[in-house]
This record gives sequence, structure tokens and C-alpha cells, in this order.
Amino acid sequence: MFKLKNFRKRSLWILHYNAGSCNGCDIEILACLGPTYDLERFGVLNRGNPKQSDMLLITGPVTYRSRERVVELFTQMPEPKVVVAVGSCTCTGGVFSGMYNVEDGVDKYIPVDVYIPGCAATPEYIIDGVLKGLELLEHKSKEIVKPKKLFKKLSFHKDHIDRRGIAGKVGENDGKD
Amino acid sequence: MAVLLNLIFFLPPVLAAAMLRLPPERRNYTAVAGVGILTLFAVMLFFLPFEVRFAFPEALHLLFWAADIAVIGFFAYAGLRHRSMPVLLLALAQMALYLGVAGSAPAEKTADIVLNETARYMFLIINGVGGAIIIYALHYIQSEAVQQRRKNGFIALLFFFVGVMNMIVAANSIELFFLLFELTTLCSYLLIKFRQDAQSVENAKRALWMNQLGGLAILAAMAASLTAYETIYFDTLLSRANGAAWLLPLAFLALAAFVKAALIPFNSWLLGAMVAPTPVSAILHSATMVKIAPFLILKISGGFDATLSFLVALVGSFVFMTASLFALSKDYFKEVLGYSTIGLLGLMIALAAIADPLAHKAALFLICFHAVAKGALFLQAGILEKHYGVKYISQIRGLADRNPLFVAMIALAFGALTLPPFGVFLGKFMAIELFSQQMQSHPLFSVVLLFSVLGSVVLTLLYFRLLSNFYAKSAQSAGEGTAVDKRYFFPAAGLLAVLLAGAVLSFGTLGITQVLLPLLLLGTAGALVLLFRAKHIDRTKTYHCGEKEQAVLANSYFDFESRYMKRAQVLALVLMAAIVAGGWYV
Amino acid sequence: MFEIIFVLSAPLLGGMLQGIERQLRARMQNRMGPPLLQPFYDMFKLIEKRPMIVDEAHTVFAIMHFLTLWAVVAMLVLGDNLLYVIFLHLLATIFLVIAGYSVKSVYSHLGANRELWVLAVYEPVLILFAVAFYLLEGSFSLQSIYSGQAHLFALLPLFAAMVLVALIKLGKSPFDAAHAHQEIIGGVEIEYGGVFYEFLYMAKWVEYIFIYTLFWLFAGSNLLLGIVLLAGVFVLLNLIDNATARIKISDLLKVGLIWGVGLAFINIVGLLYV
Repeated sequence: MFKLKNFRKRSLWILHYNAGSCNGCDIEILACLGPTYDLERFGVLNRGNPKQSDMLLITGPVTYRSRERVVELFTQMPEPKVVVAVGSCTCTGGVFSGMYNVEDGVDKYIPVDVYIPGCAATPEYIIDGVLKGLELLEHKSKEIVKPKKLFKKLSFHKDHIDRRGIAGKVGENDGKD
Repeated sequence: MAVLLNLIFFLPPVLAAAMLRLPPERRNYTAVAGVGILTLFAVMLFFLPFEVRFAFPEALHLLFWAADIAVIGFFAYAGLRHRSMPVLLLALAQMALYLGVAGSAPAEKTADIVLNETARYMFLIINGVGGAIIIYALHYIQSEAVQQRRKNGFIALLFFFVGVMNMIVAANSIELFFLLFELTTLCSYLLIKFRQDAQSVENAKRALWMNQLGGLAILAAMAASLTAYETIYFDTLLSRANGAAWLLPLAFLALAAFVKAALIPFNSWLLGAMVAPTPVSAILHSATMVKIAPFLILKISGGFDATLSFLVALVGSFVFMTASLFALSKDYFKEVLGYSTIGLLGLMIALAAIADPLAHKAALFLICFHAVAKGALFLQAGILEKHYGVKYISQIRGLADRNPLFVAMIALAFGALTLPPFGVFLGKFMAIELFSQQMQSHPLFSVVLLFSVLGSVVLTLLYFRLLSNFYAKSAQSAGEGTAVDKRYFFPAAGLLAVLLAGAVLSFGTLGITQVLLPLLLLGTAGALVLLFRAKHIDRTKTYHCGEKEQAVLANSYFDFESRYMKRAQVLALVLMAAIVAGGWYV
Repeated sequence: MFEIIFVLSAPLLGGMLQGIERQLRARMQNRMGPPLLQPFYDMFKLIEKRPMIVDEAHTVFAIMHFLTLWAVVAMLVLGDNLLYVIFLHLLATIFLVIAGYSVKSVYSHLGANRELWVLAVYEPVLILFAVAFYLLEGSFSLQSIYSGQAHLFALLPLFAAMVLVALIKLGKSPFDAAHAHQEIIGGVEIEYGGVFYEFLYMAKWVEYIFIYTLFWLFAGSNLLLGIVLLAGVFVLLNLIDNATARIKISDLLKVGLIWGVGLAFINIVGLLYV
């Protein structure tokens, strides 16, 4: 039966963001997209543009400087969307865990759907994780997903929602609602 | 009908005299009424089915003779007063040559005034577009810091200019043409000098001596015409020179046209005119002055042989390309417009140089619609200067936030100079076809074609890249959007309406779908922008790599090295010299 | 009748073409590649996403770009005036440029700027292309070109120039600086998302049809040559795309003006003397 929803898992566009990674996982991600591992056979493309992406592939332990950007990019992605944390650093902080300039994992800021372990995560794991995310995508709703921190109030206008100001700055009040 | 013609010649000077006397309130009403009547006359003459020819009485000829002496005398005086050697020397040379030529004019007389199709089109532009600019100037000039007497004088001068232009397009006697040519030079000199600061006087002097060169070329043409063909009338000259080998009179007339059109290397006088109040630039660039040049070439191209026709077209198209390139590196809005005028005049001259009815029509299309579109753009430039206080493109930033309608109008005027189905596009479209046609018999025309194609593409690039700045974030974009004064807005909007309506004129040349389709698409775009309201759709931020602060946007830069500019000027001058030399020896 | 069906299904055919292209490129790189209908899967997914816009005017210009391009293909295929079609294509490009300028986004403006700069390279070639057919056929009428003989061998330099234009217009390496994905993130298309991006995505499909139909003109009424030519061009473009890296926009302008316009002009002068 023809349902538009079925096409979510046949076409996946990725936004890849490096939140302070050592580049190890990033190289593996690019290897996945290249000819050897060929993620494109699943319809996966790396767009580099949040507005056209369905999946946020995030690497690195989320440094102090990068957390605002992570949230900003996350809020610019249209729903339904999934977040995949690639590598040990992104899951828990990894070897950087507990350091003063690191946030110990991205899930303090945004909801994560798939965790991929490894330092660096191997291409096989990454492919596995991406496909897992692909399955999850089918069960996602189109409601606005709110980041866990650095979130300001949604502003409702007469006939539309304004998402322009929903990602806050560090030091501002989190108006969770 | 001769009465109507005389009215269109002599009503503007009468109105000019009235402008000087009347108090401001009544002055404005009279001016608007006068413009209305003149436009009505122009329309009536346009639909006149036959050609009108007549000669002025002998007494009037004496008056013209006296006026000639007076004008040249005034130039000499201006040269003395402002200590300008070129002005003085050229005035003396003109005086000597004029006295020599006027003394040896043959007794045989034909019509002084001939009203043909070209002149009818020109009447429409001069009175319609010129009129709109005068109405705009009525309000504009009030904000200048000068005495009321001089403000009235300014309006009077504009009316006088329109009168002179009306007569010059119908003139058949080269002697009369010379007088009117000198009068336009005088008008532009006085208008450019209006603000009377050092820069204005300097630029006015430059405009004066360059245009005097043009006058001198006409006198030389007259002398050449007298020696070889024993006539000082355009129609007799053309019929006698047709098929003849010695075309020096026509070559000199073409040279006069090049100067008047401010073709490179004479470009500095027209660009210098920017220092004057904006209506001056508007009227010089659109309805009057520079339009004499393509008109003159249209008038004489019937007598050109293949070589002369090619050379004139080559100069025109070369200037079209180089002027467009020069404009790319400029930041001053009026200067960009000025260079693009020079470029398009080059294209008009290139088209007019081909003796072919279709080329004639294409050139007329270009002249008409360029006048309307450029007039509108200069009026908008005036609004930018007076209302928003910006002169440079880099200062325009953020205007689209404050007044989107105004930006849309500017974009439409840009579109009118480049895109289908507007008149200027049609001119270019026909130009490419005509040059391709000429190429088959005269392969060198391929160079003309290449220059025109490159020029027209560069011009498109030039106009639309300016739009970037209207949307770019401005440093001080806080300024609230206030409505533009109606007295500025309506003349500019009126000209744009004429442009849209003018697309209908292209029906004969283009098919119905070809005209309606782009109009429909533009109309849909306009309607959608006005009506489309995205309900229940989220608004989102623009992408800045996750940064919160917006970056300041800038246009792309293009630098045209000055040594290339020098080389282009020298090359254009060499080509022009080749035209005269060719006329001499062949 | 065939023409009308072709015009109406132009976006569809363009989508198929892109699907085949993605397969072909994958095979050239020795990998499996996405399914043939992948562009349509992308399209359905985009329709289903939660819509987001920056502002309304910006959205409208993308829709107008798509509609105008479609109209261009209609005029081209139904046999109008070739030169006119090329100028109408300019209108479509200008809509895209205005779309790029109408938001306060750095990449969007960069993309629109570059769109205009590459215009300076390919537009003269396209016009000279039309002129070459005028010299051979005596008019710009597409009807006479479609029913005339094949001119490929008289127009070989121009053909090379047109390959360059196709690389620029279809965004292929080495001449894809105008919508470079890794560099300026697609340029003009950056601010569109969801169903509204779909219009630009489809506009690209229509652009495929436009460019390949222009190549079809080289074959005139010779059906066999036309098919071989299109297939050859299709493989050639993708081979070049796969085998080269992007060059800078300033180098693109130099190469394009010297080789593109140069070859086209030499061809035209040659036609006059031969």
C-alpha cells in the first residue's frame, strides 16, 4: 500500500557535526559514505544542511564551546528526526570524561536515539547504527522535539510557530515547558 | 498639422518663461498642465498618418543665425570666465568655421522641418518621459538650498530643454541641427553647473568642451557636405551621398554622435553630470541629450556604405561591452547607471548603423524603452538620495526590510532592461538576429555580435548583483520604514506602468505566447508574493553554521584595472579615428 | 501529441534520469549505488517532513524558478524560437538569483552571487549556440532544426563548449562552484527545507531535460544519432564528474570564457568561411 510514511526509511539525509571530536570517528563516517562501505545504497546522502536532513550524526564529547551550536543545529532540523551519537566520547565523554571543558556526552543537551560505541567507532558499527536510526525514524511523530537544555519557550503566533528563538544561549534561563 | 508641430516646438519655451514668473503653487499646476498638453500633442502627432515637411520663414532664419553667434559667443565668455583653455579655443574654432560655412551656404532651399516616423517616436519619449521627470523635479528642487528664483530657473531650463529636443528630432537642415545641438550643450552645461560648487563647475566645463567637440564635428560635416555635395540638408545629402564613395560628412556626423552619446573615451562628461540634482541625470540619460546620438545615426545610416556601417557598429558594440565591464567595478549607484547608459547607447548606435528597416525598428525599441526604464531608475536613485540618504550601493543595505515595495520597483526596472518580454530585451533579441544576418554577407560582423552578446550578459550580471545589497543585513537597519513622498513616488511608478504596458508593443515581432508567458510568470510571482500566506508552517532561522550571530553580508567584488580602462579608451579612439580617416581617403 | 506528453512528464523523466545517473556514478566507482527510483523516494520523504520556511517571498521565488524552467522546456520541446527560449531560461535563472538574495543568509547570497558569475560564462555560449543554428538553418525556429539534418560535424567545437556549459549548469565537477555542496552547502538551496525544497529539487530534474534537449538539437531529425549522442554525452558528463575535482570560481570564469566562449566563437567564424 502506498503511504508517504514508508519512504522515511528509503531516503535518509545526514547532517554530520563534529562537537570536538579527535576526527577519528569523522574519518570513519566518511569512509562509510565512500565507495568501500557505500551507505548510499540505502539512499543515504550527506547533505551538511540541517534544514534538509533527517539524521544528526554527532561525534566528539561536546566541548564547552560547541554546545550552543549543537542545540542550534538540532532545532533547525525539521521533524521527524533522529540523533545518532557516534563514538565513546559522544556517548559518555570517553577518555575526556570529567574534564573541565567537556560536557560528558551529548545526551545532556539533546535526546539521543542511537548510541554507537567505539574509539573510534568502526564503519560496520556506524552502518548498523544508522540503519537502526532509520527504523526508528518510522515511529517518530512530527511534533516539535525540544532540546533538554538551552531551550527557550516556543513562540506561538496567530497561525504559525516561530522557531527562530528556541535555541537559547549559555547563561540564559532555560524556560522548559 | 504644421500648427500642431509648431506648438510642440514653441510651447515649451513659453512654459519655460512662465515658470520664471509664476509663484510656486501656480507654477506647479501650470507645469503639470503643460506636461499633459505636450504629451497629448506627442500622442496626436504619433498617430498622424502622413509625413509633414515645411520651411521656416526667412526672418526666423536670421534669428537662428543670431542665436548661433550668441551661443558660441557665450561659450567663449564661459571659457574666459572659468579660465578654461579648451572651452575658449573650441569656441573660437567653432566661430571661425561657422562664419565660413554660413557664408557659403547655397541658395537652394528645401524643408527645414521633416516629421517622419522616427521623429514621432522621439516626440513620445521626449514629452512623456521628459514630462514625468519635470513633474518629479517640481518637488525635488524645493529641497535644494538655493533661492526660489533659481529653483524656478531650473524648471524653466528643463522645459526649454524639452522644446529644443522636440525641434532637433524634426530638423532637416544641418545648420538648424547645429544650432539646436549647441543649445542642448548649453542646457546641459547650465544644469550640471546648477549647484555651483567647485566640483559642479569643473564637471560642467568638461561637459561643455567635450560637447563643443561634437559641435565642431557637425560644422566640419557641414563644410565637407558643402564642398562635395553642395547642400546643408540631411535628405539631399543622403540622396546625393548614396552610392558615392566619399562619405566624410557622414563620418563627421557619426563622430558628433559618439561625443553626444558619451561613448568611451568621451564618457567622463556624462558621468560628471552626476554632481547635479538627480532630475538632471534622469533627463540627460533618458529623454534628452544622449538620445540625440542614436537618433542622428538612424537619420544618416541610410547613406552609409558597408564599411562605414561596420565600423560604426564596431565602435558601438565595443563600447557596449567595455562600458558594462567598467560599471561592474563601481560602487556609486548613479555611476553604475551612467556606465550602463553609455553601454546601451553603444548598442543602439551599433543597431542604428545597419541600414535595414528591421534594425531601424529595433533601435527605436531600444531608444524608447531604455528611456523609460532608465528614467524610472534615475527617479528611484533620486528617492534613494533624498529620502533614504544613500548614494553608494554598499550603503543601501537592508532597504528591503524598510520598504519592500520600493525594492521590488527597482528590481522590476532592472528586469525591464534585461528580461523578456520588455522592450529593451526585444531590442537585444532583434540585435542578435540582425547581427547574425549581417554576418553572412560581412563576416567581420561576427566581432560585433560577440561584443554585443558579452555586453548584454555582463549588463544582466551588473544589475542583478546589486540586489544583494538591498537584502544584506545593515549596520543601522533600525530605521523605521516611512512612506516615500507621493510626489516622488508617482512619476517613478508611472514610468514603470508604461514599461509593463509597452510589452504589448512587441506583439508584432514576438508571438502571442512569447509575450504573454513571461508576463504571466512575472504576474504570478508578484501575486504570490503579495497573497501567499504560509499558515501553520514553522518559521525558522537562516543557517549560519550553528552560530547565533548573523554575519554581515557583502556583494562580490570585481576590479577592473585602470590600465585596461586606458587601453580600452585608446582603442575606441583609434576606431573612431579610423572612421574619419576612412571617410577621407576612400 | 508525443511532445505534449513529454513536456508534461518532464520533471518525472528528469527524476528518472537522475536515478540512472546516480546508479551510473556508483558503478563507475565500483559500488552498488542507490535504487533507480531513489530521487522519487527522496521526493516523497521531503513532502512528508514537517514544513519550515524562512519567509514567504523566499519560498515563492523557488516555486517560480521551477515553473519558469518547466515553461522553458515546454517552449523548447514544442518548437518555439531557440534564441527566445534561451532568454526565457535567463528569466528562470534570475528568479533563482532573487530567491537566493531574498534572505539574510551568507551562503544563500554567496550562491546567488556565483550563480550570476557563472551566468557570464554559459549565457554567451548558449546565445552563440543559437546563432550557429541560425547560420546553418536560416532562422532560429526550432521546428526547422528538429526536422533539418544533423549538424554535429559542422559544430564540433561548439559541442565541446556545450559540454562545458552542461557541466556548469548541472553542477558537475570540475565546474560546480556555483552550488558546491561541501564549500557553500548548495548555495541558493540552503534555506529551503521539506516540501518547499522539493521545488528546487525538481527544478534540477527539469534542468536535466533542458540541457539534454539542447544536445538533441545537434542531431536534427536523425533519431539514431540523437540517441547515441545523448547516451554518449550522459556517460561523458558523469565520467568527467567522477574523474575531476572542483576548481575555484575565478578559475571557472577564466576557463569558461577562454575555452567555452572561445570555441563557440571560432566555430561560428568557421561556419562563415567554410
